[in-house]
Amino acid sequence: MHTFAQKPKATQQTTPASSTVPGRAQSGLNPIHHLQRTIGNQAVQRLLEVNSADVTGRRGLKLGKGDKPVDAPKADPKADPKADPKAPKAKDKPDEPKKPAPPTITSETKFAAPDGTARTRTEVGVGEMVTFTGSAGGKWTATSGKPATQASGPKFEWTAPDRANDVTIKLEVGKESATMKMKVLEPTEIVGVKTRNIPIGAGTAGAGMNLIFNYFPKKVSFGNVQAKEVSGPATNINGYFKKNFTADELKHNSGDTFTPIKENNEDSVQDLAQESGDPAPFEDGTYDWVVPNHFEVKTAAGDGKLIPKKVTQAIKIDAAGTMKITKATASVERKITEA
Amino acid sequence: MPETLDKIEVALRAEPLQLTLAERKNFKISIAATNRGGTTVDPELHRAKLSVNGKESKVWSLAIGNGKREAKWFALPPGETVSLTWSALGESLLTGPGEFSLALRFNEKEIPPIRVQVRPA
Repeated sequence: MHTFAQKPKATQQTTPASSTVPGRAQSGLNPIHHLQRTIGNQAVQRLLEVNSADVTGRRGLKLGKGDKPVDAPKADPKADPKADPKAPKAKDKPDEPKKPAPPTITSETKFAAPDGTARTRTEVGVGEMVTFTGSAGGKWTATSGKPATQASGPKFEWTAPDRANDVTIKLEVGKESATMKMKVLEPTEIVGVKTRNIPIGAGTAGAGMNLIFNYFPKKVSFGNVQAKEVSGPATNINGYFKKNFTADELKHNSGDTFTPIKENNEDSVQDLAQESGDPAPFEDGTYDWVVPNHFEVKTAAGDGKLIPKKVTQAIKIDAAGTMKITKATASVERKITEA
Repeated sequence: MPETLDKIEVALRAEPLQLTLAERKNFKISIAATNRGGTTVDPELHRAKLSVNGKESKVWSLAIGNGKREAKWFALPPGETVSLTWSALGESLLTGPGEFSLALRFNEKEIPPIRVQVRPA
């Protein structure tokens, strides 16, 4: 559990030290010297003047065998004319209740970060859920996310906002408070991991693969997020593809449907990247889809927000009918003679 | 074609069947595949070819061969159906006013074509 407490205010020490009790001086220290150090030279002088007869036995106090009268002590050079600030003063009340310690906050994310960062992390993905626990119950507030406030309680179940933000979580217990800073991150990049090649059939030009999209950064979880590809035009149309197809025919029609991202930042469904059935004769050619991807928190409505780094799907064919597709760092290449 | 595809039953749906040029953006076309066999198979739906007025459609080929797919798209259990609808292909498939015949061919079989009429206005 991550712990964070606001720096405690200076508090007055009220507990008397045992050495301030006359007659219980710390070992090796003359009781009078000890008094001098604790209540001051002048106070000791006054005490001794009042009671000097008793100390010297002139008022009839009998000294025991071996006892020696105590001389009025000289001023202790180590003692400050003022009393030791740690010593109890007349106004001090040893029984006064202690001031409560300032509260502390610990936090735990619902989802584990895919890269293994602890659940006490203070960086979270958009829409991530975090439980804050106070050292005491109190009023909770969040500068963003939901809920914004909670009147009381030792725990605060919070959901990060839909967009990147720096958020302060505050716990107020009486006049004391503690805060915790949270940084909310959006997905910034998609990397594809190929899971298999798609069979095309010998004699047909083409290539295809399944891949799983992984959403970065992985130091936070996007388990409460969904994402979609957005349709768009083909670019970089050259050679074979320019000769055989129109730009409209090569458009990317992704379906534009949001799919959930799992707690480990993998998409919940597989992507299919495939090109096949193109007619002979073949020659070198290319075209690209530079695919925007949008994300949104699962509970949100709308078109989402663009993930900054777009995914490029590049298709390439050569004169032998060998096709190569690369997408989000994954790739597949297949000769026309292969299955 | 793999023999496992023999037990895959494929259907094509389109709507509306009569529309204007301007309404093409509302045109929807769907494919559904049902596994009539006793084992889970990959229906390999990317092999389904659509002909529009007799010409194989590149637009369809790229649409069915690319994009995110649910698990059943690649492993269809016995008795279950998987389907997908596209709602942005109207202007690319139905290129102008007139009659359009949409015929799906899958596993060497052609499904009876669907006829769509596009009016100028």
